[in-house]
Amino acid sequence: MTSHLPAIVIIVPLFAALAAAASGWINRKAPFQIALASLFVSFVSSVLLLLRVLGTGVAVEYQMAGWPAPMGIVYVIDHLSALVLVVITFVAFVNLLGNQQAVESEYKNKEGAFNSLYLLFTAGLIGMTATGDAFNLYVLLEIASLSGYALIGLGSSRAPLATLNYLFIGTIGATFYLLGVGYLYIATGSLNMADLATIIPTMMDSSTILFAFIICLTGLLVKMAMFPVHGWLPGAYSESTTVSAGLIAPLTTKVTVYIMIRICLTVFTPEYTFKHIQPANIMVGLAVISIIFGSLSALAQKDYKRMLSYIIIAEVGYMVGGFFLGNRLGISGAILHIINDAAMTLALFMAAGIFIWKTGDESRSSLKGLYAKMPFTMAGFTLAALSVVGVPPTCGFFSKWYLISGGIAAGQYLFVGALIFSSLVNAVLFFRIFEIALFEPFKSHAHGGDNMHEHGGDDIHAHGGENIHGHGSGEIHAHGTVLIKEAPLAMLIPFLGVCVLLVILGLYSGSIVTNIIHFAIPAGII
Amino acid sequence: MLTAIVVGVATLGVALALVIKVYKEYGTVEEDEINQQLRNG
Repeated sequence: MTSHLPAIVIIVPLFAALAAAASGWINRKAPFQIALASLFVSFVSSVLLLLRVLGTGVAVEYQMAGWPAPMGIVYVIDHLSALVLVVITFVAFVNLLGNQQAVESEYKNKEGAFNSLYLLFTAGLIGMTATGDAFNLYVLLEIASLSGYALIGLGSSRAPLATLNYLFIGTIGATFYLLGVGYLYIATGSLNMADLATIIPTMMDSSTILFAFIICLTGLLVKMAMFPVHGWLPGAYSESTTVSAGLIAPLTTKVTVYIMIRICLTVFTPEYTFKHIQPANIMVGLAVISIIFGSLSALAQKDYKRMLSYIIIAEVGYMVGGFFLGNRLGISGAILHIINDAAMTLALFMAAGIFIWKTGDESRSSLKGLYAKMPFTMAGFTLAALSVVGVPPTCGFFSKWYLISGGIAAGQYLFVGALIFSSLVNAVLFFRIFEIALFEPFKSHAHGGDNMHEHGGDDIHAHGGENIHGHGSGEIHAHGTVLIKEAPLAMLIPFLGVCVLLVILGLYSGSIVTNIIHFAIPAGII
Repeated sequence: MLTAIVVGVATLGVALALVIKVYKEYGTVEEDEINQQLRNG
């Protein structure tokens, strides 16, 4: 059984997607349970794979259906893949777990469709990470993208338009990647990544290979929303439901960054990427523009999810800039940031889910007085916000530390300046929210029953000096004048778990880098 | 090549479903009219 782990990680969600879609007609609750169970199996398998790779120190190779490379499709799990696999399955599992009530209320008659799309998207991402074949990667990229389009399209009334925008831009990006793989195939005759890595060093001066590199990279930049091809991201992420956003936002761009690292390091070997072409100045310059643009645009937003989308654009700039610095510190920072940013984005979008569940409103002004009303949620949100700003001991600080050290070592001071500027802008962004949530009085909601998803009892909101004893059980009487009415435990506990994870990831950053990331980077890079 | 056909068909299907939803929402598929409605509404 354990020898088939690389296949189990992807096949279980794939077949469970089929089962979830089919069972949606028979039973209302079955799709959700099937999805949760299969994601848990995937998560356990990916953790076992990571432990095996760490234990033996060599990559796990699995030939699909026994056909040997380079003819057959081979799944290769090395340190980097195993790490990203754990991240993907963890985010998918925790996001579904924490949003059960939101799923039940938002997708009333569509449980089968939603859960199977969720599983297909996760299966696509898992396959992208695990595969060792360049064309198989394109297939799974399209699986994940199409499921993503469908998931986002199920959102608000503005969602179909934003999704069409994403579809057009995203399909062009994926087609560019396919074109690049096509050129590689014409030049070398192979699609297997390890095979390409042995053939490309013999044809370094070929213009076909150069063109393939450029166009592959351009396609991937479209998919990860670097400036200037970022236009699809804010619309798509802010118009989707928070459950879908909590799955798609932490993962899509980060897995695409992983693909870029995989293509640049494993397929086009480091000598080609860094010494032969020397893209450092162009790519780091583009990253600087991306960071500054993302940070400044986030300042202008009133809607919380749009603000998060622009922050994501800036974070992608960190990772791409860090990678193209070309030294070990920078690449370690980029890989560490994949993990940290996935966790931070998950925490922030789960917080958005809880805010929208409680207040029914997406703008920043709806967050007034929430520190008094929902102290535990806001405590978790504070941790996540401090992580984005980069305050130790949360994880955000440590990945920025590696990125800045790498920038100084490579002499890219503009990149270092952009990182510091963006941290300051993030501080302004989140401290604005802290101020609104902490110091403004909680505003009472005159909306009818449809905006409040509370089952069991109404809320009576106290303004000023009154003490009102609430109905029903489960209300803690606060010392002040506002009753504490927290989010339901099923939403709160996974959210707080992720926020505590941010601190744990921060404290263990050193061991993650020395034990896992160190081996993910080829030995030649200093 | 079969993969390209399959991917193309799937993308076309999703895109057409989304266009139908856009038409139901805005009553038109002309982009300038939709922008007009977004600016006013």
